[in-house]
Amino acid sequence: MKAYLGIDVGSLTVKFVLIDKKGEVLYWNYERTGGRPIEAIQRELKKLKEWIENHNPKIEISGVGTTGSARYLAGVIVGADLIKNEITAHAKGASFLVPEVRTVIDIGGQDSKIIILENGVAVDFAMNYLCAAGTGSFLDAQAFRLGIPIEKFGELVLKSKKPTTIASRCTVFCESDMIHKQQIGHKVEDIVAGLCEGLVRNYLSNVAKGKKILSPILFVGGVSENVGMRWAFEKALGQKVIVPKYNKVMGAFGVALLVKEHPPQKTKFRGFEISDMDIKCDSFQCKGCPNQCEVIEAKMNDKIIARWGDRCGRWSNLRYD
Amino acid sequence: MKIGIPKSLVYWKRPYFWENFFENLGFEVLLSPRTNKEIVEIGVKISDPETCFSCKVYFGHLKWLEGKCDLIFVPRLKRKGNSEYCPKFFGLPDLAKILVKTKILTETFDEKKERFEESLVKLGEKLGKNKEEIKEAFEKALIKEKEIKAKQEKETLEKINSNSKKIILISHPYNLYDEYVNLRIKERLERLGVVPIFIEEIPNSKSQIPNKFQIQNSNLPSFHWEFAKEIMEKIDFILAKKIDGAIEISSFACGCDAVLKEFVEKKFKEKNIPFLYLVIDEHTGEAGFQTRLEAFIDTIS
Repeated sequence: MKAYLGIDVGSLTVKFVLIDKKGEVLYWNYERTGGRPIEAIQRELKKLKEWIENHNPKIEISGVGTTGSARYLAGVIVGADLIKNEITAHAKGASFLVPEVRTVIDIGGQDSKIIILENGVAVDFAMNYLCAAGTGSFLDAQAFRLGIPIEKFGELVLKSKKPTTIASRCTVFCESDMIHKQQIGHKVEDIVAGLCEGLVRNYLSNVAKGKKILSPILFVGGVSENVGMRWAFEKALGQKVIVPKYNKVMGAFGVALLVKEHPPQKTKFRGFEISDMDIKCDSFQCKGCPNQCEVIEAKMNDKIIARWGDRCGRWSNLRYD
Repeated sequence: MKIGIPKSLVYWKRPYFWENFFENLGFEVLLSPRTNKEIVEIGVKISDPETCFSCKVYFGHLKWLEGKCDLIFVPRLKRKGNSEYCPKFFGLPDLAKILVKTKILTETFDEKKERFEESLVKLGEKLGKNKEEIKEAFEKALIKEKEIKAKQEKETLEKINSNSKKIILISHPYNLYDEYVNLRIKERLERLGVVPIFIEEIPNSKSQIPNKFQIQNSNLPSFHWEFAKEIMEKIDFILAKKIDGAIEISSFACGCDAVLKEFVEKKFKEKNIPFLYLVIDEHTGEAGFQTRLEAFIDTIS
């Protein structure tokens, strides 16, 4: 049975989605990388292999796509047939589930983006730049500081009756403002609710600036798990915000769909054996010119499989097979 | 005598002219190399953190030239007709004098008060040349510049009229031509299968702009800055042609672009042409840059 694998390696998490030839999800998983993306990919591959053995040993990986900020690294390691940017991948996944979707709000670990769609195709988008305010990493840090498990964060927000205003221009000031609000005696739930509202305000005025937000609106990415953020978006937009199925793995789902649409004749997938191989990434400074690029070198069992990061192509254009 | 020219900022507005002019006068010209990591690092280190990225790069070039030549040429560009150059350009020679020990050669070009040739004569006289010599050097340099420009514009028009997917790149010449600064955007776009066209290479003689497109200017303010005015005029020309997308590149903290961007975006959005805005500075990550370009090309195809 033919199946297609989508892998999304972001700043904090790794997402795996396996689909069949109809686009039905057979398997999905979402895990933190713990700052070690290669090991995380290897671990997730092992889990997938076990799942296949236990559930449907007839499954055969016929194509692999990677996306996310570490899509090149992931693509090199697993042997991807398609390496696609996360905007296109998210647009694909979202429009497959909700064909009439017009807006996708995606907030991940360190990225936040808005995608505007027409007839199932992305026509405009924006990503955060200069600032990661309002992304998952910041929410994580604040939840930790307040001693609230991130999973309980949203529930607490919904308890709030009088959300307090939190400055949202910059995460540093945002944090000082939260501390100040604690010191003058505001309730924790009002502060976290205010924080969610502040982050949404920041998103709408920075990332979504000048974009027409039309319904249906889909909210995806790790932060969409947070019911508090959902509540704040709906309140600010005055419109329904849909958190679809597979919300946390939408990019991986989308890239799997893209591979399925244009399946390779023979997949470049290196196989599940790579879970047990010794994969290392190293870097060196090229001395070829004053640019002194930091070249990254990926090795599998001591054999160089790829190099990248050079501006001129001196290293990346070499063949390594 | 050796005259150094920083290959940055104002240089890229007339890249062949200045070096030719000085060579025609009989001087040796030393151009700083293309921007590289070292130059940017030096520039960022000695600049005021509030200044724009383009100026920081320029200061890096100045520092590279220091001690390697007898004079460093830093023109003071003020006005062209009624529109002004960026105020940072006014002050460049003064800052240069503070930053480097090598002597700075400068002249003020205020084309509202004085014709360009007259200012050029003053500049040449500072170097001990007479009017005839200066005039001859100027004309020769001008002919060469015109030839190169004509060739560039012809190639650009061919690109515009071709059937391939075309992206117009809107930015100041010092961002368009400096590959280190713009993270090789031209090459990246070509690899993604589209034809990038530099707005700088669009002919800017008013006669080439069809009349009906000039009327559109009426709902726009007249731009105070020379570079901005020129860009807006060229956009009208390009909108009359078939174009698949537009990318505007700004260097971080550019005051002129902060105003310009809104109008540029409006122009393209009105015509339903996909528009992408990119900001570059010394911290720009290649990954995020590439992601945006890839996604943008996906939206137009």
